[in-house]
Amino acid sequence: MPQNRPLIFQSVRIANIVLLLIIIAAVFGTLPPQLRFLSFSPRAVFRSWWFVSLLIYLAFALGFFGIAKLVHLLKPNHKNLSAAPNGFSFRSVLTLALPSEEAGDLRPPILRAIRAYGYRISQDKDDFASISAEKNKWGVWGSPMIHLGFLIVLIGGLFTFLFADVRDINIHEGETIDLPRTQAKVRLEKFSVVLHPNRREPEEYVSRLLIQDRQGHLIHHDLKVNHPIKVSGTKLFQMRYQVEVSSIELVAYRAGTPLETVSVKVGERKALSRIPLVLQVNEVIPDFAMAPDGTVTSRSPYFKNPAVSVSVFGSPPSTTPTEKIWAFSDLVSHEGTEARRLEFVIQKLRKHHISGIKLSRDPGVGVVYSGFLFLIFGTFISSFVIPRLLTICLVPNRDQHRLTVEILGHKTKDALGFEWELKKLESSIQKISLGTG
Amino acid sequence: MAIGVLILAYLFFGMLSFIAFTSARKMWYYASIIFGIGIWTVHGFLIVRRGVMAGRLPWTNTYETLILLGCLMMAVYFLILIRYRVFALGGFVGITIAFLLALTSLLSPEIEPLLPALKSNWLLFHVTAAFIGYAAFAVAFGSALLFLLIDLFAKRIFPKQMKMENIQVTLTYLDWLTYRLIAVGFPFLTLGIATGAIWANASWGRYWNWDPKETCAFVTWLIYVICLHVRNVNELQGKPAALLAVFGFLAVMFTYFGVNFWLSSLHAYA
Repeated sequence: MPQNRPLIFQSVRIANIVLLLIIIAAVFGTLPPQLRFLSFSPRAVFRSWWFVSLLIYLAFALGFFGIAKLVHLLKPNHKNLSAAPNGFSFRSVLTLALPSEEAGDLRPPILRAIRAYGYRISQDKDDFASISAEKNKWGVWGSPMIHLGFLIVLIGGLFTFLFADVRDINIHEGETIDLPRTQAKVRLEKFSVVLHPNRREPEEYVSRLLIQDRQGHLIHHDLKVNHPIKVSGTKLFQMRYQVEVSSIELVAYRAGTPLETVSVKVGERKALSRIPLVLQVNEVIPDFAMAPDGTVTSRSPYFKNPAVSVSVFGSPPSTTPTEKIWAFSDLVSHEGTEARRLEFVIQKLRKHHISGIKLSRDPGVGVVYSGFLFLIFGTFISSFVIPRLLTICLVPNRDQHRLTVEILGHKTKDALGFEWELKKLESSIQKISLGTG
Repeated sequence: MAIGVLILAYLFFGMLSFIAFTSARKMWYYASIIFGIGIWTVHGFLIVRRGVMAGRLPWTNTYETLILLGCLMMAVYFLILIRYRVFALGGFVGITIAFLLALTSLLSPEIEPLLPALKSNWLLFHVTAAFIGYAAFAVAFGSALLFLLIDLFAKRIFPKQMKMENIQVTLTYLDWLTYRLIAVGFPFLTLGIATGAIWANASWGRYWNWDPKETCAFVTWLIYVICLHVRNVNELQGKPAALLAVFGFLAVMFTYFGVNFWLSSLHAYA
């Protein structure tokens, strides 16, 4: 590894401390917004100068390490694993009986035994005494891929931070808006909430859009959640919706007989013409339900069982209503009770939807995605493809018809796993001398 | 009812595995494996059945993901068993899965239809990858906990009753196993976070919102980065590494449960 990098970027200890600081800051940033510390909002931490500085340091450290490692790996004849005597994690010495005068007879089966464990022999063919074998050599690329991948993600994040244009818009049904930074127009023709059959849960939100692009072409598009559309470089995402009740048509009944129909807005007071009363609609419940204690709630935001709260005032109208009545889509009466003097039924509920759409132009997305690719591959390679290097030294003793086999396993991340494999290799080599290998 | 029976079965499996670990007789070892395979098959069948009944992937809320997590923990345990012939963690795995399944009694088992935000192919990749990671970290937590307990009881409380040589070998092994499990879980957590970000971009228009769920997952990822850093570079082993693994898993649990119930997040439907 080159030694001329600034120390501050090559220290793993400093990197770990910075990671710890980022962790602490991020944890603080998840606290509820109501909790303020010295008039500092938790969420503001992610845009603070010191948090961004930590990320910048991290990016530099990742870059220095990743590039330095890459340069080292690309150099010809680089050594990935320590071959120094104190770089061994496993050492075993076997003594095999030679089947003949020539120790060379045992060499081929030993090489076969090594290859059976997936090793590739890499040694000087003329050097009988030493065999070097390695496997999973390409596993060393995992670490630089992880570091460079994370760096690319941070760079993509920087692009997003500096250049992205993401905004929320609300379009009413029938409304046309200009898409910012394009020459396109978008009109919301209709918004629909598709419910699951026989359920109160939504299956889909659909904004039926009419789009005029910069060339003047008109295109219909159905914008759904998880299915964004792209218009002149801007992506549109279906996010949320609201319902506005514009007016309600109520039919007034007395003793079960309809009197008159009146159209009224929420909060508006309106006088009835046939009877000297004034009514006011207070609230609209989309899916009326009443708890045993009498509390009124809405089971869902969908207009499955709408109800309207109507306050009735005498004439001349006073500030206090004479009674409050719930109006439904049908006349509701209870057996055994007298017919109410006055009742209301909802004839028509005029409502319109407002679609919440997110517009996004983000040049950082592609960069971040490529960073993710490096990160994912790098982590899998680093965790599952662990390089292993072993050296086997053969020392024949022709006088005693013996061959000493020394197996040396070089240091690796997966020390115990390597040790187990070498023990199995040891046992395979042992069997060679017994003629069973 | 089926979950209740599964809870009892996993508790029994945990006890069997503990007996197998402490006994020299192979009969207990085979009994725990056969019984474990049996309940794991039933567990998997329940997940598949729920998926068929719901007409969608059966891991879209906390109830379903608790069941999935238990199944994946058992899968990780069997992988350790096949590759390394180790069943020291069977007791911990069995009891933990029983506890996770017991938590489902606090939640509604009703099959809810999929909300519009969850109707995406990314559901499969994001949730599966994240939970494979969680399962590996959970078993790593068990390994680290066992390390700390043996270290505490053998070296400090009962030093004279234990053979130090055997204990040292066991501790070295558990330390290594914790590291390998974290190394297995880390790429899956990375995949889970990355696919989650890609899905967020397709659904909400931003790949990163510093949403509490996203931030806590990122914090968990960073904790395990530090774990792997100190292990690979500084060669920090033994008790400090075990404590880090325990701390990392606490972060996993907060990301999984804490955010859903205590913080306001876009992942509220989880």
